[in-house]
Order: sequence, then C-alpha cells, then structure tokens
Amino acid sequence: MTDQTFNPVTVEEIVDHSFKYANDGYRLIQIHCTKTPEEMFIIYTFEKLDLSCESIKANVQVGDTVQSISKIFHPAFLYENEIHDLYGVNFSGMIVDFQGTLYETAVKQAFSITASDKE
Amino acid sequence: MGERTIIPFGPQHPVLPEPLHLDLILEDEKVVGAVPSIGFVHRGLEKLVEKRDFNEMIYVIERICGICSFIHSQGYAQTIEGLMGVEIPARVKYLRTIWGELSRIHSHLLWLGLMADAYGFESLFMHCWRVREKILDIFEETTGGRVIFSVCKVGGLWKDIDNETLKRIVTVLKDVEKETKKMADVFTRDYTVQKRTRGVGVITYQEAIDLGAVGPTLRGSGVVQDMRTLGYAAYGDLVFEPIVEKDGDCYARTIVRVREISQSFDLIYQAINKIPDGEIDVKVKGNPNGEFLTRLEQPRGQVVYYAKGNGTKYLDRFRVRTPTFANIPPLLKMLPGADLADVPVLALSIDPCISCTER
Repeated sequence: MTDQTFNPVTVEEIVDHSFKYANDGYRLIQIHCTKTPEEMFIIYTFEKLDLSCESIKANVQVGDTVQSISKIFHPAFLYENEIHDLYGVNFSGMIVDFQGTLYETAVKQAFSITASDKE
Repeated sequence: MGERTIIPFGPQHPVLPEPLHLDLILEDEKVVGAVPSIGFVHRGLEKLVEKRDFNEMIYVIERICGICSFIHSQGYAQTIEGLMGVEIPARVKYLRTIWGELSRIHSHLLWLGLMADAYGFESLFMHCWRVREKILDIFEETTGGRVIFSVCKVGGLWKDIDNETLKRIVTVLKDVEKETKKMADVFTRDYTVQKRTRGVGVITYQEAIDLGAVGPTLRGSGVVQDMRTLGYAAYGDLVFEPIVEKDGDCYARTIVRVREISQSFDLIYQAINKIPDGEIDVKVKGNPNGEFLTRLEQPRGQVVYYAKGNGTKYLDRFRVRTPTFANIPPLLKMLPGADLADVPVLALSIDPCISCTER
C-alpha cells in the first residue's frame, strides 16, 4: 500500500532530503502543488523499485523561489516548469527552463490562490 | 557538421492522433535535439474540482481521456474511498478489475494499430482495430457506453454484470484471444516490423529508472515494476507477474504490450472464476477530509492520484500525474541520434496520450 505520510520540511531542506532519497535508491515520481484558501504546499513523492514510497511537503507562497532538484532527479524539470506556470512558484537552477511557456494558458498562474479563494 | 534546422513535429501531424508538439533540431536527416511543448489543449480539469461536488467530479475525471477513461474513474473513486475510509464490497473490486483489464486490452490493441499505421502496415492496423471493436461491444453491452462508461462511483458501482453475461464475455474473449494471437505473431516475427523497431530508440535499464519512465516504456528496458502488484482492486487475489523485455528499444516496448494483452485475458478469466456474489455499493456518509495518494497501473503505465479534502463537499485539490507526463523525459532521450523518418515510431513507442497529459 502507499504510505500516506506527508513529512513536513522547509523549502531550504528540500534539496538535502532529495539527495538523501537519491542515495537511498528512491526515484522521483511526482511533484505537485496543493492549496487551501490560505496557504500553498509543494509535495514531492519518491518511490523505490520495490514500490515503497515516501512524500515530503513544504509550505510555499506565490513568488517564492525554490531550489530545483532537476540536477538530482532529471525528470523534476517538467514538474517544476508546470508548477511555475500554474502556481507562480519560481525554481532556481532548473536544467531546462521553459521561461513560463510550458503551459501557454490564457490566465497566468491559473491554479494559484486568488482573491475569491480568500473570501 | 551539417546545417541545423528546426522542424515542428505536431501538434497536427498525419501520424499523431493527439496534439503532441516537439520542435525537432536536425542536422541533415539526424535529430540532435527535441524541445517539447504542452498546453496546446490544456483544459484545467483539476481546477474544476474546487467547483464540483466530489461525487459529481468522477464524471469529469473519467473524461480526462477516452482510452483510459474507466481506470481514471476507478483511480478517483479509490482515492476518495481511501480518504474517507470507505471499504467497498468484494464484488466491486472484481468488477473494477474486469473492466480495467478490458480497458487495457482495448488500449493496447488501439496502440498496436496506430504503431502499425506509423510504419505503413495498413492491413495490420485495420486488423487490430477490427478486433478491438469486439471489446468495445462488451463495454456497450455491460455499461451502455463504448468510450465513457459512467459505471464507477465513490463507494462502488452503478451497474453490476450478471454471472450469465460474465460467462458469455469469456466465450467472446476466447475468440478475440485467438485473433489477437495471430496478430501477435506478425508483431513478433514480421521482417517489416522488426526492421522499423529493433535497435531504434534504445533506453537502458538505468536510463529508464533515472528518467522516470513508467509502464511498458519502463518494463521494455528490463525493469520489473507494475503497480498492480500493490494488490489494489482484486489484483491481490489474482496470480500474475509483471511482463518485462530487456532490449529497451521500440520492439521491446511493442512486445511488452503484445504480451500484456495475453496477460489481461488471463486476469479476466481468473477474476470471472473467483468473483463473489454480493452488493455493488456501500453508502458513503460525510465529506472527504485530509489528503490521500494512490498509485494505479494504466495501460500506459503508473498513474498517481492525490486528493485533498477540507470537510466540505468540494475538494481543495485533485492531482493526476499521468503516465505520458512521466514518459516525456525518456522520449527526449530517445530522439537525439534518430533519423527523422523514425520520429513517428519513436514518439508512438511511449504511447503518448496528450489528452491525459493536458488534463
């Protein structure tokens, strides 16, 4: 079964945790953002070939800059570009930076917290 | 070094059924790089979860894709059931497995047809799709729909399949299996098929892991991983091993899918033999609260669902990490060094579903 624990970390700790997971034989299976009307979180999920899986979760804000883990886990660049385009969270050091053109949506940061969410 | 040219491949291309878009960087006829663009048909379906009752949202989720529609609805239901601690009846687990494996057969037959079309084998393409129609007939008989079924709900199913119909499905599938075996021989032995696929787009074992490949793209490189071994639905009661090939080329990925069709027939027969009688739903009380992550095996590979509830009938978030999204980095690794003429075969070898990717 899938472990339902989302271990809280700070944005600054994400790279260290990613290194640890890489050294322990995990690979990245997804990164996504989630939000409540008040706050946003970024969730990273790592999986071993035996299917054991762990997730970490960090609190972020629109406009924050998070260090990319694409130099540790190559596929991370796609998730990071996606989160940048849909949620407005910036990533530094991505191995491929689409500069906001991966998703050419009519509304910028369409998934981020809006004023109507807070009402 | 030849002069560099950039050629757009898609979003509209004769070989692509979906709007995949790659900017191919060429030196003469050789691909030296590829830049993907997605978002061409992005629909923002995940955002819609904030405005739809969680019970109604399943009808949106199953419209993420017309090929793996059922498994998307199953994944959504399973995630919300996990979030709410709902235990579904055993019969539901078996029926979901049967419809899920029928979906895998029809998806792989569709893909095999498209692959045959990509290397110009028109008669094989028509055979694959002709046989696939019989699976769609089973869907129509059991659900009323050929593409979107709307049989799954949070807490169970809207429709049962009676035991007489299940027996008749076995008879139909035995015929389909015979026809599929004839086509499998062509895919495994035909000179044209091998010429176009063997040694093309090789991904090594380690590259498949490092690049995040999933499904037949991962297993075609020798990696033993299949989410069904987690035992969700009725898979924990059925006997099977992940199908693996070792060469890592387009041929290996094709053979994985050919062999998975046979495996799906076997899983359906096992499920029909073991299916218990009983209810097809349970009453779901309250609203989802908390967060839950589920992994399933779609025909194209691992799919990850995440749901976050807030105690109201609207979810804060429903996230779908589709298999095609995970298989884009492996595709970008396969393309450099390939001939332009092989790009359609390479792109199809990951079985891209842009409808899923741009949910």
